[in-house]
Amino acid sequence: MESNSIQKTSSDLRAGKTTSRELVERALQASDRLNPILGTYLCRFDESALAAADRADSELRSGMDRGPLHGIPLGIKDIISTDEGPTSAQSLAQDPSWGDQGDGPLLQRLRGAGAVVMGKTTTMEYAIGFPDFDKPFPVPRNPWNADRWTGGSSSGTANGISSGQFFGGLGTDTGGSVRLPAAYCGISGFKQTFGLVPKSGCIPLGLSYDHIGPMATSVWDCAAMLTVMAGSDPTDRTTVRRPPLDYVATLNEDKAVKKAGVVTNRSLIDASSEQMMAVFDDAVNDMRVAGVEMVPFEVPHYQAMHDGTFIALQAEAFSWHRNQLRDRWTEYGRPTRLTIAQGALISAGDLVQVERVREVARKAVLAQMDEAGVEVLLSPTTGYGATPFEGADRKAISLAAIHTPAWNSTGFPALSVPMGFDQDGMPCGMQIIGRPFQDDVVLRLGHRYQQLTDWHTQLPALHADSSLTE
Amino acid sequence: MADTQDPSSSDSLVEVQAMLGIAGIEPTGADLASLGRIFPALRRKVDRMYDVDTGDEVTAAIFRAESDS
Repeated sequence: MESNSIQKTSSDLRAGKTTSRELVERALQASDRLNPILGTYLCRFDESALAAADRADSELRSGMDRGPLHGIPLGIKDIISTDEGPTSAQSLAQDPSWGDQGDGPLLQRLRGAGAVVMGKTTTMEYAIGFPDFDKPFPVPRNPWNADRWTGGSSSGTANGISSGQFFGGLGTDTGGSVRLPAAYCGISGFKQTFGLVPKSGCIPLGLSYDHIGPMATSVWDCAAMLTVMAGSDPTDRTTVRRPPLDYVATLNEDKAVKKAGVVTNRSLIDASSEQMMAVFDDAVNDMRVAGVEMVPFEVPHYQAMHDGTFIALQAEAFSWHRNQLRDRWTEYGRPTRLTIAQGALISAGDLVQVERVREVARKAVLAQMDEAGVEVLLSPTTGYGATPFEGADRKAISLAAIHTPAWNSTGFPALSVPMGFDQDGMPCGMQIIGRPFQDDVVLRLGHRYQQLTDWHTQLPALHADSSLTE
Repeated sequence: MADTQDPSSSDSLVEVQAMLGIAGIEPTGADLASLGRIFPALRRKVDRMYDVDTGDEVTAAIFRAESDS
């Protein structure tokens, strides 16, 4: 996916080989062709994107260089507010005026870095529903096989990057919604440490589990985005003040990960296909050959963290949605309202217990990582490749997503990188989990892996550069 | 999202309807029936949270005595 790399394209821009206007025009042409098939966008901002591209070109010509994102087209998940247009959350229940608040701190930072906002991308309703063919919204499809789902909920951002409609974008991740579609669509996606990036301007799902994360073809590109996105903001009290870090510069630091824990919990292996585990074993072996010592690692309290994430998420979501659910019950999609309403079935004491378990588990995982001397943990990102729409089984979808939610409970950084393909030719992702605020360590290992392999450069059948879509 | 459903009992339907009613939620009949089937599995998950030895641990909830916004 070299043609869709922020790293290469930012270099081409500075070498005068292309312009931001050319990039945006090509991206729009690609979308004209691919968006009707793939359901990437809920709305596109063609005029403002072209105007932003012209400003970026003018600045570069005058010697003003805002960094690697300068002039680069990005897609924004449509639960995040932007200046250009409404925020639908892909729901008939959502009051469009919510988006009148315009850019939040992240959008301001990305635009300040010269990024070009191409439009708002498809999601699952309120980042928690399921693909719904009965609603008047596009159903996001997988560029590797349009009969299969993208995963969710940052679906349009993932399939837009994978298919070459833009270079990077924002997703949100409450139980895996950056990492899952990244894995299913064959791109890279990062859920950084909770508190590193502000979430203001985003419709919350699980207030203390949500993360807005970067998605792109490569780890280098995600690192470039995170460098701009990271930093506390007074509008989000969950953010933590830390010294700024150039995550791109840290990718090549001489601090290689020496020891990693390979997650061995039986429940996770049982929820994964043999093919997925075989691909994962190959990826682990590649890392081992590259000099990383691998040790088995049984994650303590895994099931409690997994279940606790969903219990608390439902309670936190209910808190945000209650008044609207009262008035607009049938305007929500059925899976969405049934999921959120479960928050009313959990007592205040239950929620406190979940949060206490969360603390116990977080400390236990860190203590065990200390004891084992491991800097990161490795697992598949999903148990299976992307699910077919036909005959999709909600229980199977849930099981396939068992590898990710626990890390929303701990708030630890977790990255998904492409690691190969399953028997159906669908991408598989490897998850790299690190200690809190050691985001640079996780990214460095992911980058190292991408220097050893070329999985992240593979193009799907439905891609802007593929003759199959002409 | 795990969605294990049990056959709904009249007890769980009554409990679910009561709790939703307190919250002012009036689901359709089919939705209430679904939530009634989901409820026993949800309760089992919640109850398992109490199997973890949490000692005197405090919650992870974020609270700051002084607002910086």
